[in-house]
Amino acid sequence: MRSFLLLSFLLLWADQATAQSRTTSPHPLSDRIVSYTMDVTLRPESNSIDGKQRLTWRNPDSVPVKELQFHMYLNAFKNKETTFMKESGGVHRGASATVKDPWGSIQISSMKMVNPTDDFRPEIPLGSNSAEDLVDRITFIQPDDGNLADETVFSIQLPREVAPGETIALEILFESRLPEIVARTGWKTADTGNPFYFVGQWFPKIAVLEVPGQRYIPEDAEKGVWNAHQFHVNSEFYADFGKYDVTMRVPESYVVGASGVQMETSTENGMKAVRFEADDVHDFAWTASPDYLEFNQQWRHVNVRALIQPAHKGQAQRHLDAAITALEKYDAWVGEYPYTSLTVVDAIGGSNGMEYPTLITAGTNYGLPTWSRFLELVIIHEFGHQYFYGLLASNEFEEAWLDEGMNSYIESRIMDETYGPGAAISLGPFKLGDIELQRLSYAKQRPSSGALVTNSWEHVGGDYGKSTYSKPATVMNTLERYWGWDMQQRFLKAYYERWRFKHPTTRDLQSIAEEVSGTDLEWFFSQFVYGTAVVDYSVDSILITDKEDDQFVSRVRVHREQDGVFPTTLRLRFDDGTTEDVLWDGAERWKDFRREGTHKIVEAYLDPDFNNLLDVNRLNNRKVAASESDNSFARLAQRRAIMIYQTLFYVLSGLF
Amino acid sequence: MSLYYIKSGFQSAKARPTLTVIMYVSNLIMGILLSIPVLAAFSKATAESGYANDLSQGFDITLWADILENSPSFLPTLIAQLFWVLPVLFVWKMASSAGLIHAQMKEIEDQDAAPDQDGTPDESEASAAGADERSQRLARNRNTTRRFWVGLGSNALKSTALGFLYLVPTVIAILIVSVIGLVLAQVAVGEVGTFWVQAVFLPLALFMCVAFIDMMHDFGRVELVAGRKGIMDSWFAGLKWPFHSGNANSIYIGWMVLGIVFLFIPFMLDLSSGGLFIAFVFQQLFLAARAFITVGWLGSEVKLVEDTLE
Repeated sequence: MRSFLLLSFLLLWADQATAQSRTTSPHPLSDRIVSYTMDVTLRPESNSIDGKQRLTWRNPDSVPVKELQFHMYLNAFKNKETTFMKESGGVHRGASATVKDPWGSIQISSMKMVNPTDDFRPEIPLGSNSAEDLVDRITFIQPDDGNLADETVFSIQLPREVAPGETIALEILFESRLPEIVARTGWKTADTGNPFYFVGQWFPKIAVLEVPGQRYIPEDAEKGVWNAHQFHVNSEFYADFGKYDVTMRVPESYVVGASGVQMETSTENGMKAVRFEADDVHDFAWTASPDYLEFNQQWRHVNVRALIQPAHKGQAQRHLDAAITALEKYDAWVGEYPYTSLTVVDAIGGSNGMEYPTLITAGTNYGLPTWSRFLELVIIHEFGHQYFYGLLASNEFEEAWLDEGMNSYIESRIMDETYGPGAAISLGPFKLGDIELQRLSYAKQRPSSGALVTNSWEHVGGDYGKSTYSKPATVMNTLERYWGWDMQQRFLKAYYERWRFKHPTTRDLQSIAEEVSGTDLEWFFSQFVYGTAVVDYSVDSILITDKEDDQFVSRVRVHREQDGVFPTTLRLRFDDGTTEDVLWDGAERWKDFRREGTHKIVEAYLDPDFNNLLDVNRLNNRKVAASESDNSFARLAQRRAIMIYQTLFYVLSGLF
Repeated sequence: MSLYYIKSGFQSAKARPTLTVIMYVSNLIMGILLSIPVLAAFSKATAESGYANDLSQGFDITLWADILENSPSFLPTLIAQLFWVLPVLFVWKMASSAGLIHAQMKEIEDQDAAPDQDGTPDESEASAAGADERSQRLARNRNTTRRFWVGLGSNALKSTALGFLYLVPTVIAILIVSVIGLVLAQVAVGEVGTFWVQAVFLPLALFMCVAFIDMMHDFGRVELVAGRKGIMDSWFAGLKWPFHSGNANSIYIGWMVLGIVFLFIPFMLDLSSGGLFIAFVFQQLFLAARAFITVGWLGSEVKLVEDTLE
């Protein structure tokens, strides 16, 4: 009996412990440079949040540090003169600032250094702390464009140096005024008439001090450098790993979703306090609305929670299924998802299609047909960011392709493998797969401009989307076809194992690829990652010359149309049906392949297996001899056109 | 009663196969004419590409994107064709409908069968009266064809003018539906309301309005040709038909449903096996049947108008 009771107690304790755990490990998984403890109140009447933040920060450098730099992202929405607003013209991903109230901001009213070991007491005013208020030391800086009106980054000189390895604590009182949602964060009035809040990039957030040897800081540099970019229209975010413990006070009727795991809830005087904890993450976002319908599903150690708008209730299972599909594939292909929670938010307007640690936003429409899988595509993509950006925490300002592009690659793979041909759209004979969608988005949209490795705010002429999403996805799909899926998996897993919970760079990715494969990939990365080389091979001509004794000389001329060089296979087909594959390094601008014999070449086909998705024109890869000219497709197309026109004429005749 | 008129139209079309042939062939010729740029563009792009077989077996968006990129004038040409084909289609519809009505008028048929003033039957009909069935059929077909072209020739201009007049209520109806849609959009706010207004109500309402006015137009045209009214009188008469004849509505809806089915089937066939020769042949059979429906449809309306005017 005693043993039974003891066992029951242990099982109950273990169960409770697991239910409360934020990750799969009882130990820290990351180097926790920061921790944020916050107690904040949402004020719907003014669409603002105010509260208190306890930030602890450990100096990772080997020298003392006196300056701190912070991001104040919400100030991007302060007025028309901010860098974000000037670059965007008030429009972001199709959402535009309405006349009504697009403005938002964040303001620090008090900042004091406190003892890191003291308890966080949000109810005690900061004024009771006799330490110097550091607010007057705040200086806004504009390291990217010198736009003095932009206040999304500030520098602060501390009253004393922070020793190497020392942890300091700052208590900050701040107020965040949420904009009407234009770019990811803010408020909106839902169709029901109820308020909807998505709260992202909403608190004073310390930047990353990159130390010598980290990312592109030389090993022999004297000291670390703050990496704090302004908030641009095309940039996202970058921060250190740590812990978050956030209490949000909202009206009682609101349903709250947030990064991490919900720890406790209490209600008082019509307000609800919900506390979430998130470990080993580098951001914290949350959402609140009285409209949300909640759906849950368990996948192994992960509680998947979907918060759905009432009009989309019928699509709740699609949200969950897509999230679990992504969990399964990433777990198999890349590595374990180390968190115990994942929240999928059916968001509104410009807040949809975004990622935060353990919380993603999708967006859908009432009546979305099942043959359109853009909902699944978005969810799989946003989940993928848990790995590329969340765990592999690259700098989204400087190397946006490392998260968006790598993620788009795996998203395209998951979509096509899960949903088959027509993964993105499947409507009768018209089928569009995701890998192909990515390729076309690159190949048919100024492929010669926009290198992958470009600061996000320096992309020009609409290149950001192509160079950050579709081109890198195509580059990685091509790499996979170049060396096979097995090698690609080893590469992805090695990258994950080596760099998770860290800040990898393109150079690190290349190093892993070369290390795993044992080959030099400089030719690949220099052309297609750092450079803008374009691949286009064509079969120029097939020339047959008769010789004596029924002998023929066949000459196939191939052409490298653009500057990209990529090894390729040339398949020659002879008139007796035999084929010969020839490997060509693709270097020469023109090359002839000659064959002599009793059989002539009737077809030449470059890259017959379509391994090189970077080739921007597939039609010119193949040619047949004049004797094999075939108009069957043209006639088929004509028959189809005749039928379509005939039907159209009857329909039009019915109109008049 | 409406079934009687639908059967009557069916019998009329069955007895006059040349009318179906005329409608089907004209539809086919226009389709072939417009498809020539398609043949030219794809032949140039794919004949020596080696991809003909791949493209024939399934949709390959990679290759289609390259084809369109290599043929930059292809889509503009297709669109530009609409600028001349739409007016031609409009005029042909007006004129051929007048011809179809004329060819199915009982009065005209009786005139052809009636003896001349001197008491002898019309040469062509009477001479065939004693002949075998095949000869009779041939004679009937010749006469039907003649009546079609006579009717077209003598009524085409008036019918076209009437057609333009019916654009007026069409535009008015579209405007009214649009206004109603705007009003509903203010009432049925939100995503769900917007969906039902924009994706369901508006398309259905527009379709029904256009069909209703087309019905008025049909009867107006029959009044013009068979009723021998003037253009304006025919216009007004056509406007009234749907409101004072239940049979008119039933006939129209019955034939319209048949017409939609016989267009839907070849369309669905195209989705699965479009372009294959055997599928193309089947589609043409359905489109020929659709031409038959056009003839029968007008035949029913002619019969109803003639019975009403008697």
